[in-house]
Amino acid sequence: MQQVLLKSKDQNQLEMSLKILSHAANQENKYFLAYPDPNSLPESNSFDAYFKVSDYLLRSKDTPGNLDYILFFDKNSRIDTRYLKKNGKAIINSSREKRYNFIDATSTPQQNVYFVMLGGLTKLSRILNKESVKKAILEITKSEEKLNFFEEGYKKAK
Amino acid sequence: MRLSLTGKQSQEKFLQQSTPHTVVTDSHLPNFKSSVQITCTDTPQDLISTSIGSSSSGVRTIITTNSSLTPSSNTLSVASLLRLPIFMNSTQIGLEDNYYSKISEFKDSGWIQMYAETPQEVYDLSIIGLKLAEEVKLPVVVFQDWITYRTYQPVEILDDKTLKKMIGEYYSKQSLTNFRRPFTFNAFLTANENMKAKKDHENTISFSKKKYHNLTKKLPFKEYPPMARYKVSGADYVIVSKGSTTGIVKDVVDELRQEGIKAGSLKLRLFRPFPFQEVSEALKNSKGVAVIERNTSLGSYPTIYKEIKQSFMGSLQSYVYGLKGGEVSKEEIREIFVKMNKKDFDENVRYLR
Repeated sequence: MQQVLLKSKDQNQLEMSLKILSHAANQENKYFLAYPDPNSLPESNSFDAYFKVSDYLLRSKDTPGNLDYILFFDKNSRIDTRYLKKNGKAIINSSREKRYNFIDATSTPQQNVYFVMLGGLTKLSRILNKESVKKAILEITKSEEKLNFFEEGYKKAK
Repeated sequence: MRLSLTGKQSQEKFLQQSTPHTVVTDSHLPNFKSSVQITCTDTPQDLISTSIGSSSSGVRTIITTNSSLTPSSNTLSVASLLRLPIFMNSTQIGLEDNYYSKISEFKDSGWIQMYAETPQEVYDLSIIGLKLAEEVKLPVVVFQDWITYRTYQPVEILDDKTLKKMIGEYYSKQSLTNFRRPFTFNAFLTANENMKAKKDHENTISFSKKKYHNLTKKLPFKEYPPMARYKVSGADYVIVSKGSTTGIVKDVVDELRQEGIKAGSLKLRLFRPFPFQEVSEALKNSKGVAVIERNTSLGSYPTIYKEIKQSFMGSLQSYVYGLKGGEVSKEEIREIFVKMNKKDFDENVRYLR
């Protein structure tokens, strides 16, 4: 099982990301759970969501404490890696970074940042096949342009 | 066909398939053309009152709501007393303090009540619920919590043709709009007549359990018993839960079993009529049982605990959690099993967080 935490100030961005990731996992016939953090506070200015994917049945919609990846969508996010497991990766939106994996979406228009970041996650994590994520984006957004942002993130991921 | 759907989308998918030519979102209403009418109401009172009007005029009536139904509790009872086969999907969204207490709002309303754990169950129980409502002539509600409502999971859906065949056409023998066969509807009842009506109602709702069994066997689903047992057979300690939390309990049960602790999980799916016999049978060999639930009854015990108490005479502990929507953690569930293993039971309600 692979567990990813997605963090953003933009709730819509998170919900769309969950939709795309779960759609892609479904195409690969995998088991998955994609859900907003059940314990996040409504008054919070940052939203969390979880994506779990596996070859066996998943049941717990909990707040997992042993994460494989944390994806920070927003530039200048406060980086908190407490719940990352030992070999886990934090993936951040930055033009330069020494400690973490980074994807430069700092100059991408806000409404397209999550496509770039999902491109980076797909490349760095390999939890889903690139083609199934692209297919999911195309089916959900009906926009070729969004695929370009995804490809941009895929190429930029380091 | 396997799709990736949330609980919300599962209920929409069911509505879309069972009411042809419609997509159930507000934005589609202006384009809506068919023999099916979608009405948006402002308040829960309006919703239940409108559905009473709709169903009593002899048409299939399906409703959804995320609101609290407390203000409309009197109309809920009217809908069931009039034996109207209304089907409702309801979600607990946090607006008021004790918002998971829909169980308390509904429990004595005379509606048949079910709880779904996953988007798949939302879809399947909706089909069962609609058929059940129309066969026993009582309103049925399927609840989901907001976590299920917003979680994407794989859902096997039926194709439109199979689903339509399964739920069939609906014809009401008695209808206010059938002017050739006029009848008295919602007449004043004297005390004696009211007692008789309640007794009939009680018989029908009790009988509906048998119908529920028959329907779940007939329809092409996996099994949907009123109580879902998970490793209960041979379990020393069992947690009783409902809704999405059960997934966490099952995972902890698996972990504890590997450590040699005989743990089990019992999920409540059908709440009214309550499956006393099934609960009693499932828990008869248990050394201890904990009931975890998202509702309180201040000054007394929470609702499900009281029901389980009727069926289980051994050591029983009540836990309350997540009244404002938070989810219980694996560690907390593990702690409950550990406490049961140490024979740590008392008569007080314990609050997890």
